[in-house]
Amino acid sequence: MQDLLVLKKLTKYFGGVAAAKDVDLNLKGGMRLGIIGPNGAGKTTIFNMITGEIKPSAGTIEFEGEPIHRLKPHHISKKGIGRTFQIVRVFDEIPVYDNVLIGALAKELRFKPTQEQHREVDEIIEMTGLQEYRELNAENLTVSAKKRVGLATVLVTKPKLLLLDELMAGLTFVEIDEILELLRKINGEMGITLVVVEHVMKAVMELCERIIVISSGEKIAEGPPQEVANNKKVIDVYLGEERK
Amino acid sequence: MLSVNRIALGIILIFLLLIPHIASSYVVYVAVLAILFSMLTASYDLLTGYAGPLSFCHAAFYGFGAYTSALLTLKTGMSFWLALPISGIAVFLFGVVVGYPALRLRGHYFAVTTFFFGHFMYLVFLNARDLTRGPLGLGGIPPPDSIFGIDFSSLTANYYLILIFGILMVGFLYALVNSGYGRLIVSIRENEDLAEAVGVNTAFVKVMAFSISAGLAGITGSLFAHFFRLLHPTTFAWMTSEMIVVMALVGGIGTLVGPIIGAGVVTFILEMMRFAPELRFIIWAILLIAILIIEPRGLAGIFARIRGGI
Repeated sequence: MQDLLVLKKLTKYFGGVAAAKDVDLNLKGGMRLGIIGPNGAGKTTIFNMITGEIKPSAGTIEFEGEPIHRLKPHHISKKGIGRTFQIVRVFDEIPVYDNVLIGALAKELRFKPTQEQHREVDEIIEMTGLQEYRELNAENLTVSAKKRVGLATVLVTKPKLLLLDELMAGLTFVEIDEILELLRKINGEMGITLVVVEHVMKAVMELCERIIVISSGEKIAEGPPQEVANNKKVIDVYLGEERK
Repeated sequence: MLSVNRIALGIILIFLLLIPHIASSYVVYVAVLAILFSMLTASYDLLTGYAGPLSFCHAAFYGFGAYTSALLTLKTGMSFWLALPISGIAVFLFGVVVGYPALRLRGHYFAVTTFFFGHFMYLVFLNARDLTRGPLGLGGIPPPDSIFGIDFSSLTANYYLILIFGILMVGFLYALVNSGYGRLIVSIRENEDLAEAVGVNTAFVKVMAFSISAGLAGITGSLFAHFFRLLHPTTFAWMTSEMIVVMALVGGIGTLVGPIIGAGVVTFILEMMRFAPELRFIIWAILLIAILIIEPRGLAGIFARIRGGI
């Protein structure tokens, strides 16, 4: 089967600093991939390059066999790549329902939203557990609920690949478990491929089938969660090298 | 169902329809001015209230439409009924040309750019003497030609003409902002990066909002030109752009109805203060500051508070 997403020697320089350097990745459809690494390692930079917010300095990104690294974010979104943001972003001063409806209309613009679109919005709102907030302005919600609004808004665009940037950060353990269950459903029932950047190790270990570790812009390890967790290089990066 | 809004709307409409029959011609003139300003603020609201970018050059498009329409009828003998849509389309296209590069800037940078663009257009109106006659003013503009047997040389007929265009424009804007397109426009105001990430072509939507807003100002300009029949560059100078911004703010931007009320209220207040020309703008400034301190969402916000009982 053709890989869904292929990164080849993906590189981004900010001035003289390499935020990402020669990152290679092959991702099959339906997978759950985790990207971990210390702060400032370049994880979000990789996300921003995949979604077109910043252009790579070198290297290529292919989605379903087609190069996408020169496209604008809204084109990439139309191709089927959705994302959430590290610092939660919602359409603040409008109700939750309208937030999600904008996603549906961005996917398919109608002068008057169709019954089908309203039905989809209702379904996604129920799935993400936002029923009780649907009439409230998004700015009034808790961080956890805002994150679910962000997730619902992108889910309604029916992405094939979903990039989640620190979705669990700042959530309680109960909330993390709820989100994990939701993500499994998104991956299992909706068949959406997931790539998560996450610092909450418990979540990454439980959710992901494969993990890549980024440090100073370079990929230093890749493999199943347990293998990566015991990788010496990874431990050194996180905890510092052992004194000899 | 008869809601409070509908009753209020009905009363205002009846009142507007009655004005030429119950008021002096001076009041009718002021009412025409108020309707024209309402059309300007309503179209301005599409850009600044709904899409978000703060613009200070709405009067430039108003003037461009006015001069285009006046010159078409004067130089080519074209009928007003053709010159009006042509000037609207011309200003819309001009809006695309200006908006495409300008809207790449965000926030204050865009605002400052529109400020200077507005002043640039004023200087064009002032100095392109062969066309606009500059500071001497462009006179002799014909009134709208008669159509369906209606003669537009009378004040009353002109008043109704402008009122009908005002209602049509507000109806168009209302339908637009409540449509699917309107929601995409609002998504840009609320979070441009998120909108782009979920697939909204934000550059295109912004340029469209800017250009439609400009085109509607152009149509208003055409109506103004054939009503007052004399154009002078100062009418379209910085002061007018600023008035539009202020009227929209006083009314409450992003509500459509707010800026319309704002335009009406401000026009009449400024007229009523003609007894004290020196104090006029001082009193007005104090009033503006007071309203915005009491309720940043403007008059629309104050009404919402009263109705919400908060």
